Amino acid sequence: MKQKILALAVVFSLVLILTACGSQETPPPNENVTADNEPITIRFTTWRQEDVEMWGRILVEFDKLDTNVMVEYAPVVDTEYDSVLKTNLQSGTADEVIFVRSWDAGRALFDAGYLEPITEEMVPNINDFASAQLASWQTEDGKIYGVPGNWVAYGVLYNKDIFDDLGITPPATTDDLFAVCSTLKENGIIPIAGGSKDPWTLEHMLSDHFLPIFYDGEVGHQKLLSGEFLPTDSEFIDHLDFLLKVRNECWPDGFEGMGYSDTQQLFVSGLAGMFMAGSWEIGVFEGLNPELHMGYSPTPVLKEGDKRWLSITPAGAFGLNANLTPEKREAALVFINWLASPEGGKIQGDVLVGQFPSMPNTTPPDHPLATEWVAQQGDDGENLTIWWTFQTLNAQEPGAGTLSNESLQALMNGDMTSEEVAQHIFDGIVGWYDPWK
Amino acid sequence: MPLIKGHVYNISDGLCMKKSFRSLLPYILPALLIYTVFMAAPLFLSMQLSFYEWNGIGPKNFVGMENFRKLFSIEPWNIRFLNATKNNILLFLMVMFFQNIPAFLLAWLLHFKLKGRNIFRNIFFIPVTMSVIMVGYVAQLMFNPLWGSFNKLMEVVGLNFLSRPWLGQSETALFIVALVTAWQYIGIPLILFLSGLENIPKELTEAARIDGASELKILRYIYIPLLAPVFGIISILTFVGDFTAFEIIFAMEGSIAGPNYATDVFGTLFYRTSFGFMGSSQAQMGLGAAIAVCMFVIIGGAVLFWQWYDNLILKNLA
Repeated sequence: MKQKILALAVVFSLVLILTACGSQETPPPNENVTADNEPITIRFTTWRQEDVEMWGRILVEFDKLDTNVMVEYAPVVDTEYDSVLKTNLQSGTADEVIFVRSWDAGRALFDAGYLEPITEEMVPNINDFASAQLASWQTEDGKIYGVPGNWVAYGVLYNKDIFDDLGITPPATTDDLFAVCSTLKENGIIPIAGGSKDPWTLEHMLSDHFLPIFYDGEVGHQKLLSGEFLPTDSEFIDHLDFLLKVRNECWPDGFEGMGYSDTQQLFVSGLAGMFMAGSWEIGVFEGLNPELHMGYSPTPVLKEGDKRWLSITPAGAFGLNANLTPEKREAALVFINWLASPEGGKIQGDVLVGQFPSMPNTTPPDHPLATEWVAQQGDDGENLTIWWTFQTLNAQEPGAGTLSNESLQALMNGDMTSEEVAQHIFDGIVGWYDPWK
Repeated sequence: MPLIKGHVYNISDGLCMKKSFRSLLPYILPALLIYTVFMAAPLFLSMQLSFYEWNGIGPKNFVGMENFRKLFSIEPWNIRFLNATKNNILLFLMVMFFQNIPAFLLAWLLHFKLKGRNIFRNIFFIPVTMSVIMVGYVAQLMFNPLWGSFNKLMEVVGLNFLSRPWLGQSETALFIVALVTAWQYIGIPLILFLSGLENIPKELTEAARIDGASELKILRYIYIPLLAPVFGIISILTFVGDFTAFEIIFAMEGSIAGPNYATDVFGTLFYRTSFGFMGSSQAQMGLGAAIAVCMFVIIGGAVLFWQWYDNLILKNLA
């Protein structure tokens, strides 16, 4: 009898523990109150964990507006962002404002019904955004599911002090680039801080960056998407040969073991002369080494007089969670509208140096390097070209991302030739991308 | 099974009387409940998911055996799968060699109860308690080609040919990962072997020493045969541990398990396939579930095989 009571007690207490763990957290009492001027807290989730401090400053500006909306910046580290977001969306615990990835990665969220389409009623200036920015978060029938936040571009960052000491100027053409590299090498400086350990750096900072100068920027990009131009064409292979030449003449020894943060360290510590950079690095490098004197130089072109394309991608957009209570939705829209306004855009551009705001009618950022970089797009954005591995060619696996990652690393490590890489990329995508057939 | 007065029951009587089993139930039930909810149910759900195609948030599409077909016969997935199998086997063999054999030899040295042996035993065990991610990250810093301490040390000693980008070359990357994980976990087989050695009856070794046997002979003829069951347990633990290895490779090479998939094992293949990679590679959770099912079959099969073999040994049939 005693045993039976003991057994029952054990099972009962266990059930109690399980139900206690399983119950949902009830929100604190002063949230979701609809009375006027009671603060509503919303959360904004993004993969930019590196920008915590900067967004803190941006949100201080938002608070000055004295709305009843309190915003919490809730980032998740880049590599885990997508899986955490998906889990949260499915369990209904996702944040109110979601930073949506560009192109196909973000489209999946909309197709699954988790993002509300943005109309002029909700965000009045949505149609003033540049079409190149909206394209990344727009369906074929014109539905917009994200308010473009910022875009990033590629270029060359160089160490001004080293260049001044040696009396050299940043390269204008690719021939200049190799001449500068050999001068730097003779003087014991690593010409370009680069490495092949993190293959995404090869996809982004090398291939996405330099292919435009070989296939004539956006003209070539559209041909690539329509199938008129294929990876097996000579211009693509030429750009791969160019990357090999960069590796041979400009990269440090032991590059196979250098990852992204290693190359960043090389540049900020003054051991390397140049860095093939995404514009977001301005803020990052200044944070790592405030004493560093950096200069920006546009991507070298093949021949003097070639059009100087600016290789970019829209980076992220502010998406509205489709499953919100009316109060939260209104609060989220207040925040999004401020972000989309010229004033909001200016503040974001000034604080997040190098992540150029997509908002229309925004005055250029205060930072000289950022201003120079943005100006490269031309007065009407006519020099802009989208990264070839990002738009459309990544919709299914094996996509341009995976294929370029693995084959470019093999190229740099000497395991594949340029022709093999081109063939590998073609073979992987043609399997599911009809225009290339 | 009749109750015999005065007989002391033990396991070899095949004890399984109904009355005893029922009284055991309340003690088993809580753990069984937790196990079912958190381990058995997800396992079955994973198996179910492997017959679907799913990107993590959209609708699930039933595709039958398509995922398994991909893993075994369609490029590039079958290449990745075979590569992961090969790397796992290599990792297992390397860890067996670099972890378990030195663990045994160290246990043998420690069992002599020399001065300071407790200190050494504790020192060898401390890495086991460290976080895998931290160990992996520090190892990655150590083997960095430009400022890593390992390469600098090799240059100082004059062994320049040993100063190279270890983690960036496909020939050497897995080897380094195996060394790091062997270093970290050497404490566990060490403790198991040590307790095994200390449980060997002193009379055996004393008799051997009186008969004039050297320590090496004692090692070879007494210790090694008697420790065979311990070695069996350690082997199967190493097998399971290495075939589910993920964090150490994630820490040292990232989930892309470079260079050129040289360090790609089932764990990293599963993670990368299921969750995609940094927005540039799409999530395929159904295919990932199929990989997980294959892992389960391989590891479960090996454990069952070992249990059957161990049972044979127990019955003196092998």
